[in-house]
Amino acid sequence: MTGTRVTGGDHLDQDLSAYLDDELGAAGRARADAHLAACAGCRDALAGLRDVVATARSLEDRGPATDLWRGIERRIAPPPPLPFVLPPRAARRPPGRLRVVRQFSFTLPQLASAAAIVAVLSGGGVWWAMSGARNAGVAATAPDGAGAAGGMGATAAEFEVRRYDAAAADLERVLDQNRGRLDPETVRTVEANLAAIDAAIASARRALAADPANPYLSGHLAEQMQRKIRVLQRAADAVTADYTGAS
Amino acid sequence: MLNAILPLVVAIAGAPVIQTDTSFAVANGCRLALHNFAGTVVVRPAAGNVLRIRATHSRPVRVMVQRQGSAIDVRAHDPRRPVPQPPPPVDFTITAPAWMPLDLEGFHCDMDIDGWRSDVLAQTVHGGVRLRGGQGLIRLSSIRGGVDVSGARGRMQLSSFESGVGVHDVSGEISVDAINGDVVLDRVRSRLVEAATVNGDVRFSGWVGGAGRYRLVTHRGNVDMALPPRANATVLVSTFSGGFQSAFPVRPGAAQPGRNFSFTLGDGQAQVDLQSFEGRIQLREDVLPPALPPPPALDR
Repeated sequence: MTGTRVTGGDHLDQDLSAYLDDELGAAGRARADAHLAACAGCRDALAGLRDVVATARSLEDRGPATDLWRGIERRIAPPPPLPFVLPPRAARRPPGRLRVVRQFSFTLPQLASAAAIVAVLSGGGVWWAMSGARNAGVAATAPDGAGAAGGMGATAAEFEVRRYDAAAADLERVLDQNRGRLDPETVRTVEANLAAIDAAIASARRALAADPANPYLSGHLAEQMQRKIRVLQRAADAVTADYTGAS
Repeated sequence: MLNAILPLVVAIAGAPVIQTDTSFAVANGCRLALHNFAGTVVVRPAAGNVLRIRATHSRPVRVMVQRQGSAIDVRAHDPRRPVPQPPPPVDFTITAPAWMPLDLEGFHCDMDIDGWRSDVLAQTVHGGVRLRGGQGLIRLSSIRGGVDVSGARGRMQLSSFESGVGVHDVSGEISVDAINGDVVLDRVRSRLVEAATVNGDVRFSGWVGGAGRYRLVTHRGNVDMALPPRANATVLVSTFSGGFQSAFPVRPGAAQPGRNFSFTLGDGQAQVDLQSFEGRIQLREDVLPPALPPPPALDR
């Protein structure tokens, strides 16, 4: 830090570090000296900081025991691109953490249209999707006409199905590749939870195939699909988390 | 200077387990980011602006305290272990100013935070998360353990794969996601509640009103919602093969399996959405404590 942030009656707080490093400049240092002369709290904090610095300087400076770069390089190498992948989430990451898992998101309307298509396809209704047959349930829940009756609607929904499948497959691959980082109990838990969601997806899909105009069913199926992505994402985040800060 | 890693170790001679104990002043605006692969994390409020880190661990392990921007980053490191191996267990007891935002990350780790007055982000895989207090953004998750919150105020995002989520005496926006566990929302003051599970039950009691939105969803479990006798809400009920019971008057014949229907209570202002694919949906009358006022406006 450089400059002269130190002001009149304020405590020094973060300026203490710059003060110790003699980075405040002449005017800033003079004001800091004046403040320290009058403020026992800041003097104590400064003394504590000096102790920490002294401890740090007394430590042996050792280089890394092994060449870490190959491991780092392997971890940051981008996976091959997939179609239908959304840009990474802009969420803040704590310092020292490295993620290789891409983030996916689907809105419920997007997935509801996809869900209806999936259900109809799995229910033997391929002809329906390909011929663009009318379906009130899809039209009621699809965004911007994506699920509107007709070939375009079916195509847009199928696009979402493929995007969903690609996202799920991508995350499952990350999970598989890092399975060894999880203990068997946790692996069983994740698998059991994914199985529970898959069972919910299957039963919702069957129900929707029998009653394709039911907006609750398409929404419910979409919600389970969205949940599966979230669970995969969370599990993939867990297995790729860095607790050592070595990345 | 402080950007250098500062290993702080206080050894107890002759003991297989040692303790690290260090304290330092923290400035307003600092955030604590603690990463603990295994063990426990206990966080309690401190009287002043001092962060104290106490850690119990095996001898070769070092606790690394690193300042990065406004964050105080804390984690354990065992110099004997190669990097890909996870760090060994450490039991942390932290006392810190309650205004300090917390960002806690663990794996085989239980977390217990009490008396907090700031953001709390805590995620673990193999342990539980318990929070008393918390203001602002509250984001807690566990894969195998339970999540339990009481007395929090703000925006809550809570999730547990395998165990349940308990939310008690809180106010603010609430989003809960579970899979195999129950979701219990007890004495909640909120205008926005979204709680969903797959195989568990969802139970709600609390203030309902204004232009609030309350969505309780399960696939195989039951939904149980308690409303005050003079509730003002539009209630939407959705099920595929489940049932519906109501202590409130509902149009006869509406509650049939495979049906989605709605009805209005009072002026119908609040939106209540109850869904169970194959479980029972129950709407109960419940006299809430008279002292339960509407939720305050959020601070942020």
